[in-house]
Amino acid sequence: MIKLENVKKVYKNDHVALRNASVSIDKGEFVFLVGPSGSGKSTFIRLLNREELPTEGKVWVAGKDISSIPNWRVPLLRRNIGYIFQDFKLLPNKTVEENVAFALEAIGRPRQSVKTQVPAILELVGLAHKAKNRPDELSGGEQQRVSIARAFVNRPLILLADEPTGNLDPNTTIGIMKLLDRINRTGTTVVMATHDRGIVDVMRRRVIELEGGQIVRDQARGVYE
Amino acid sequence: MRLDYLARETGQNLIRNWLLSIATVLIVTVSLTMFGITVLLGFYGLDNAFIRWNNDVSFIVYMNADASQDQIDAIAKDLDKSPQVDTVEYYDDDKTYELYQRIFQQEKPEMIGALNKGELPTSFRVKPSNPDAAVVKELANSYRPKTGVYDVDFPDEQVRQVQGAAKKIRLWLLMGVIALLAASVVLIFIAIQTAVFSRRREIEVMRLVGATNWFIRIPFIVEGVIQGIVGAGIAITFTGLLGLGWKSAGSGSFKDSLLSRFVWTGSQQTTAFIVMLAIGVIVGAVGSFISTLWYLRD
Repeated sequence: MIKLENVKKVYKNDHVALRNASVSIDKGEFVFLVGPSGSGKSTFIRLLNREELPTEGKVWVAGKDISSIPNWRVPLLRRNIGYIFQDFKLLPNKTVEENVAFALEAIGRPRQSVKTQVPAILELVGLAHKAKNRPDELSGGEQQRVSIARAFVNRPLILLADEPTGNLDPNTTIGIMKLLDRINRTGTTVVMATHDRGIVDVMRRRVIELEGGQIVRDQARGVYE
Repeated sequence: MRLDYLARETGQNLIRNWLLSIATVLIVTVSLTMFGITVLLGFYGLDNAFIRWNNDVSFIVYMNADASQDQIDAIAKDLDKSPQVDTVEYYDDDKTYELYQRIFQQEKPEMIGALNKGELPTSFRVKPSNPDAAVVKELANSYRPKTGVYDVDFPDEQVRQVQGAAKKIRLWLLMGVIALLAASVVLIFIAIQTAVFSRRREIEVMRLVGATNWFIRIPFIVEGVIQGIVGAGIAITFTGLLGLGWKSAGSGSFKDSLLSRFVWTGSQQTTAFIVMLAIGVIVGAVGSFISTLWYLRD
């Protein structure tokens, strides 16, 4: 599903964010990316979404070398990838259902499809009763659930999550992780960057540890360490 | 792209960013009103004023006081058959004396008795068909050597000065209009870019969920075009009203002044309004397009 071959990423200020990274992630895996700040976790995720291009090496997603696809095909790639942010990135002037519907409308889904898929996904994340609320009327955990609903409403093959529990308290974090686990069980590959030792240790999924831009550990059913 | 989505997004954006929308519309309105007034008054009005003034350019062929009737008839015949002459009017003894009296009545009444009818040179007032100063001068000079002609009076220096001034005014106005349009484009661009900037998070989310650049861009362009059309519509209304006021003043309070000659035709006004509308649409669309480029780079 995901493959990095000798990937190196150097930013314009000569900062080497990732070096000699080679890794393969299968369909339906749940992978934690761990490591200190600046270790390259976010760069790793941004490369998978073609927000960044590798300086060297190749990035394969769903059988395609995404570093060589033309710019006009990038939106099509992103339709297969859901993205969850630490700061939710919800649109404040849209309601919960509008925020979720936006993801479908933006890729030109027919109205009927939007009408059926949005309530279904809101039901899945447990927010059907808040469909008409605006983001500022929700708690942090609820906002992250909306963000997950928006990322998953299109049933993507891959779900990328960049510190999705970074702004949440421990109880809310458990709820979000249960939700991500549930999504993963539907066959969606989940790649999640995190600093949260607790959830990594409890869930015991594959752990890829980065340090100074290098993969220093790749462990099935690993812990944070 | 679904039309209902486009209409809803554009409408919501216009309402949500109503202050910026109003600012953009106002900038388009002010810029295009100034543009419209400059075009109508400065270009069409000035052109028409000079056309009228040029139409008044003429020269006078003075005959000798003792010129024979044959000599006068010969000049009259020559002027009549010349294709370069539009109209010609002969000032005989009576008409010349009447003119002499009228001029001196106001300026030096004591001179009125100094000359009698028949002692003043008769003259031909000639209006050439081509008002160009050089052509008129050449035509006027061709009558100087003719028998019976005393002198030919042609205000060549004044004509040259006025025509030169007209050329300069047109050039300055053209430069002014270009500068005005450039300033308008920049102002509109800044206003639209501010609107786009205020929605950068929305754009970022749209990109990450897989919207194509054109899908993101089209509502912004439609929004810009609507602002351009509304701004141009208001500007056209203002310019039309100002034009009506100008024309009514031209036939009223400054009827006899030079300003009353600065008029324009209905078709010229229509052309100016169409150009204003087109500029509004183009500036709105191009401004939005350029403004979104920054946020839609891959």
